[in-house]
Amino acid sequence: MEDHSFMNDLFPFYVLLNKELVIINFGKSIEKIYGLQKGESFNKYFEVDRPISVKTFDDMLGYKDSPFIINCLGHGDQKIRGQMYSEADTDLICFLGTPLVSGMSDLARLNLNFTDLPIHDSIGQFLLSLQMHQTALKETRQMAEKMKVSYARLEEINESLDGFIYKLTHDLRGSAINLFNMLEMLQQNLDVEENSNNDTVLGYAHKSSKRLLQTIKDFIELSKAEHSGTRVRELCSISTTLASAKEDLQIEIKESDCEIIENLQEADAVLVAPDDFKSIIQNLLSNSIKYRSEDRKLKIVVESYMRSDDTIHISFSDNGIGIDLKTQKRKLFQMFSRLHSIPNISGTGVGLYLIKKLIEKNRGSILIESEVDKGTSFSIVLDTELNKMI
Amino acid sequence: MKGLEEIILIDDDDVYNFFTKAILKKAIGFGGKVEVCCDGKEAIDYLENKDSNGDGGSGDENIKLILLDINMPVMNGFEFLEAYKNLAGNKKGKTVLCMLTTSMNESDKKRALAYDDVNDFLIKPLGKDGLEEVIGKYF
Repeated sequence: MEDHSFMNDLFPFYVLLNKELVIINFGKSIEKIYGLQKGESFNKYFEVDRPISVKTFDDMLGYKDSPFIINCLGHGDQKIRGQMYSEADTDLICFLGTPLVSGMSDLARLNLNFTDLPIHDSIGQFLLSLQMHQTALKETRQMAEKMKVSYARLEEINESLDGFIYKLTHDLRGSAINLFNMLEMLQQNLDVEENSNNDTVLGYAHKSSKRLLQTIKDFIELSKAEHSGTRVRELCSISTTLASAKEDLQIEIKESDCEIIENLQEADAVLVAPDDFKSIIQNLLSNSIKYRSEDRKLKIVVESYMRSDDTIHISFSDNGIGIDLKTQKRKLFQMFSRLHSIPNISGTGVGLYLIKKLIEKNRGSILIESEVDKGTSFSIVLDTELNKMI
Repeated sequence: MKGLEEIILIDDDDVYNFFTKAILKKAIGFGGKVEVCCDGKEAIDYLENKDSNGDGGSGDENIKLILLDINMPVMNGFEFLEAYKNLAGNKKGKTVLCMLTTSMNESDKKRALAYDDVNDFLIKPLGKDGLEEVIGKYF
């Protein structure tokens, strides 16, 4: 019993007591948890719970062959189980114990690890299996969490698909009905409103068929944008893409007599899928043209600059009718929501949604600033080549 | 058509409005007023200010039929119904309100008919026969 380091390895929860139950020595683990001091009384730290009514040295000696459970005072309901050992003809008794642990939380509370426990102690095995359970549980929880996120995403996709189909059928049906009605009016030679004639009906029929085509085109664009396949981003010149978009919109640009001012010297190359980028620019320009003010000549300013975080900022600012962000912000980038009801402008409510979707697919972001009757400015932030390297 | 004095079309689809107006005026021969509003907000504004130029204060006595679309910009059909609910009684007058929409969605129908103000849920297109039937049913 003199060899304390040997005792320590074998029984890190031992406490050696003299006849007066004064602590002579103790194991490293019991010290770590309860901060025992040599020379203090055993009763300062502990109380024998089982066997009952064991108080004195002689009581302890009498129950040498029985299991002991000891309450740790000032540590809630923590207990240590073990037994008393005493060599013949000595005035010393030694309590050899191990903590009563029922779960990982107890272990954490005691701040114990395996080296605090003797190798022969079955509690080590118990803790090991507990730890394995705990790890398995953690992994299961993580998996469940991941599944929850995927499920929410799936529900979101489902919902947007429902909206997509609802709107598709609604718009196609609406245009088809109009076309049918106009043709029927022509066929029945219905005497229409004052100041209108068959040319009016024919004009409306033409408009309806155009809208039908636009709806179909929009939905093809949308389904392309929604397609989750990876996009190949490459370095695109803003000025070249803008020129190409302008060419596609040349009729609209000419008709609206708009002036497009470019200021792209500072930064001209962005990392984006080329088709997406053209579609984004085309939709932004077409929006400015559609929602121009009748009171002034339309002016669109396209500017770009490099930001400090090596992304490129491109802004499209117009002097159009603007959007009342106070009331319309919520609807802004929603699929199929139209913000204006201006006669002869047949928005399908796809443009802004499409723009946002395409930008997000290219890891960019879009912001809007607008003032009614002053104009609207869209700011796009996209990566540069430099960013890709990182 | 006895008693019906005014029909308000609330729809952003100008082609459809043109069609309905032509049918009402020419095929059915409706002699009253046909007012076209291209979104819910325009219609609320119209109803609210309706008697402001009239003989004053007494509200709108016209016997009206409102045909209301659902999908519209600025203020859609359901948003209109919410605003209409809070419209003063004398601004509503004697009105029959029918939804007229391309939506064949059962949930749209349920949602619309849950409003006390909504009398009917009609699906486009409503040609001469359909419009005559609605007018005949309520007026």
